[in-house]
Amino acid sequence: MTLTKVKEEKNMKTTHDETVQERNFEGRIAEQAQPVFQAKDFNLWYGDNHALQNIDLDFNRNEISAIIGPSGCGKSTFIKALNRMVELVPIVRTEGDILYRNQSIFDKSLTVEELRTKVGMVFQKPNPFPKSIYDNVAYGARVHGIRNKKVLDQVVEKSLKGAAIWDEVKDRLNDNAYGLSGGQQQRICIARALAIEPDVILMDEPTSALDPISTTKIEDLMQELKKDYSIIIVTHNMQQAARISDRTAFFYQGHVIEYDRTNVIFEKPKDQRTEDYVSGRFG
Amino acid sequence: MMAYRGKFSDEMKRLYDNVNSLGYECYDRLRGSTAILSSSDTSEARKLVSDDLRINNLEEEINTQAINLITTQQPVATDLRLIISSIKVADDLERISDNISNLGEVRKRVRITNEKLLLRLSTMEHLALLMLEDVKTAYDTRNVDLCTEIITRDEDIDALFVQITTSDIFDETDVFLTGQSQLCAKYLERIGDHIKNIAEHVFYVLTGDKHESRKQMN
Repeated sequence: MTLTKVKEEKNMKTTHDETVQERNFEGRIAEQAQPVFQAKDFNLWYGDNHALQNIDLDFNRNEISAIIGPSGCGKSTFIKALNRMVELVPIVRTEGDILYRNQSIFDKSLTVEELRTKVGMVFQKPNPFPKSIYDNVAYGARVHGIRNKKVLDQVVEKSLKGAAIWDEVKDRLNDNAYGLSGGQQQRICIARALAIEPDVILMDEPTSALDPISTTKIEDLMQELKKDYSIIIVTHNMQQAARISDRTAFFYQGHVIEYDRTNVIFEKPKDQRTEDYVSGRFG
Repeated sequence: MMAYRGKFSDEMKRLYDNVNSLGYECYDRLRGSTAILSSSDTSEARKLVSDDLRINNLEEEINTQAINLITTQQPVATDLRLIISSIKVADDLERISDNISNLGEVRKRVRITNEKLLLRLSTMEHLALLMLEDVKTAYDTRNVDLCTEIITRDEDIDALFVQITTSDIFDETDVFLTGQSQLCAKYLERIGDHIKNIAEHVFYVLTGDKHESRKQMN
């Protein structure tokens, strides 16, 4: 039901006259200034290991925010804390708060399932289910109780189009997703994440296992996606962070050393450690 | 953990050395260039002109080296500013060298004997030499204030240029000689401008910001 409603709203948007579109655009700009995620003095321990220390970060709506830093700096831990996946590790303990649209993600009124419906995730290695392309993308919608074949067809087509892979797979939707290339599999995973119409997409090194052409396709796709979604990406590839993100956070030893607009981080960082890291002398 | 990036650091050092060499070459060419205007034979002037080829080649080498560094090492932040500025500094030095050659070209055409004029041209040369020396010191000692000072000192050269072109020291009746003499003053004034540019590039490398004088220009 929710899906249909959202869809209707989105269809309406396209039919509005120009003035309304302009007003929407201004509204979006105003909305964009509000953060989608806010970490407030957030701390995380793996047993005795203080992995994240006093993290204060705001991620804006409809922007791509990149998190960079050397291995073990806590960037993956942090991104997994945003959809509470990190709690799957039994020895994890947290302090402080993370707000999703001004509501604590740890609040009892927001279930983990609800949160993960709003906050989708794409991982380093493409991880499609051993099912058909169609079933992979329809999976989330089915879990949410949608059985109507027509609605599912629409969800699958829209999601695959959103992930810029529809043209490549539309004639073989019933083929096993494992038969696709790595880059295509990753876009199927993105389509799967889009199918539940999330608000935020978390990406943990989404292109590190892909060839340059597939990487370019995913990066282009991200630029398209940020119009409708907020994206937070962890990447080891600094050039990628520089190319695609609006803001970049540099993590080091569990601390946020610097967080600023990406051009500032790569052109004129304020902290010497950031400069050493982005210029490859560190890490 | 600090990583050394040995090859990159070595290449950056080589780039710096090459820009430095280009600076030294220009300095040597500039020193005594106004004295050549009154020398009795033109052999030194001809050498001044022909030596420009070496400067052009060195500038070309710096550009190639900078492009290679950008494509192979993907530099960012200070490294990138340094590489881009090296290209610009090399360009300004090459233009300085062109102006020095132009002084040689003038001597091939005429001999200037007006003592008053020669003294002023030689003062312009000395002011430019001091600016060039100081711009190297400013970079080597990371001295931002010195950069700003050098930029303002260009006004002294400009003032001399105005003084030469508007004064009545040209008592010659030879219009051609007067024209050539004024050209010499113009060449030296341009040299001052290029050194000022270099000081602005150094300011940018050191601070990451454009100097006020450049902002005003825009």
